[in-house]
Amino acid sequence: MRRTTGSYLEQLSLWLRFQGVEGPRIVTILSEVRAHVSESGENPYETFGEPRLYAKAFAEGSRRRWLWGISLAVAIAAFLASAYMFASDIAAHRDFRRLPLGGHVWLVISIGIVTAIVAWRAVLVVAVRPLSALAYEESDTATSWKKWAWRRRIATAAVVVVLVACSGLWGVALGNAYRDAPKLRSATYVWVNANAPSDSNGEEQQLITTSAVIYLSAPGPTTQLVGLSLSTNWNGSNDASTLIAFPTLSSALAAAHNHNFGTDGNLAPFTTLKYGTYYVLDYFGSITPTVDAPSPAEDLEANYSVEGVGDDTLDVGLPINYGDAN
Amino acid sequence: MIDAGWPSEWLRGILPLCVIAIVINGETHGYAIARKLEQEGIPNVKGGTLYPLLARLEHDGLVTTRWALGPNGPGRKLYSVTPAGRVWFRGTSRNWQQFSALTVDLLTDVGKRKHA
Repeated sequence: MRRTTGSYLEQLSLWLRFQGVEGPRIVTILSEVRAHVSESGENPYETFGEPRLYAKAFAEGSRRRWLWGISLAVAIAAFLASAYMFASDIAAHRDFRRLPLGGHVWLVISIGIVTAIVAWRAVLVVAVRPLSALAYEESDTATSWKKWAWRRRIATAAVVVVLVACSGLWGVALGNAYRDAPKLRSATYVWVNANAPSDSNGEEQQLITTSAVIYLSAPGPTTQLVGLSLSTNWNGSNDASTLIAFPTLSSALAAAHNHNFGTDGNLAPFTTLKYGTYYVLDYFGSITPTVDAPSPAEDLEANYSVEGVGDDTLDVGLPINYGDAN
Repeated sequence: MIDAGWPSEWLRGILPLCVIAIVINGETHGYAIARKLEQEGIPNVKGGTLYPLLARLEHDGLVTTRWALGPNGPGRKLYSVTPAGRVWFRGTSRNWQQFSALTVDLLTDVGKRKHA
């Protein structure tokens, strides 16, 4: 390797940066080396020693390197944790809300953190790039590094402004989404028991008992279950229903599999539904076919109202198979 | 006098005081300090020793710096002694002179005893 003043300054700037010395100080140290050797005619490798060792003499500022390392570790930990949450959400709920930026809220937040830190460092590196060039400029070094410091401040301010703008926009979009959001959803498990028609005309009254798991997709205004009915071309009447709350989806699904129907009356409607709670909806109804050979397709319609937003209906598809039902 | 320079362990204690003694006479820059040291009989103080020392003195508030354009070439850093630096210099140089007189006495006594 050539051992010129240029190569010395280049190596020294790298080692100083590696030691965590701040940019303006690096410029100062490089400029002094350059001023000294240009006057004395000495070789910097001889008078200042190896760049790596000389840089160590200025290494007090390495606290900042620790801070940088710690913040990066926190961001990566947040990213991994949210990736895990994201994966377990898919596995457990099979329903992750569509957010304005797409994906899951934790994932978006931690990608945001990582992006912000990386972007900030990247912008700084770009703004800092001409460090050893600054020491070479045949101009006032003080002015040069002041310019550098301003560039750094402007870059940092720009990153902050962009981040604040992005998170503001995202926050507003998220707020809007949550305000309009609460949707009643049903989990995959639906159990149905129906009487088989006793004649081919199918005009006899049928009994349907079913058990489904319902829950709110998002937090939001007060949401109330209003009414339950069976759809399509059947005349139906609702005889009994219950709604039992469970803290987790798995416990609700387990309870639904046990389908212990309450017969105390039509209890489910006018229950206020809470986000984060999973409800087993047991339904007992009777229907009378109005046409011959009715379609086996049947929906349980759960009407609900969201305060300040309006009414909506959840259709729970009932897989009725008269051939197999008892 | 040693052409290659005084032992570095000797210089470690006295060099800050010598540097302040030079800078106290008027604002000057790093290379000029090294040349002046050489003229005063302390040759071969390397840049690798001098500039970290100056940085330490600046950090401790004993000297202050400003940038000026060199006559032909890059800008250079000019050092001057702060009021705190003057106070430090007065106290420390008095102590050093005391220490130095004691060591000189000790060394010359040995010679006298030999001759006696």
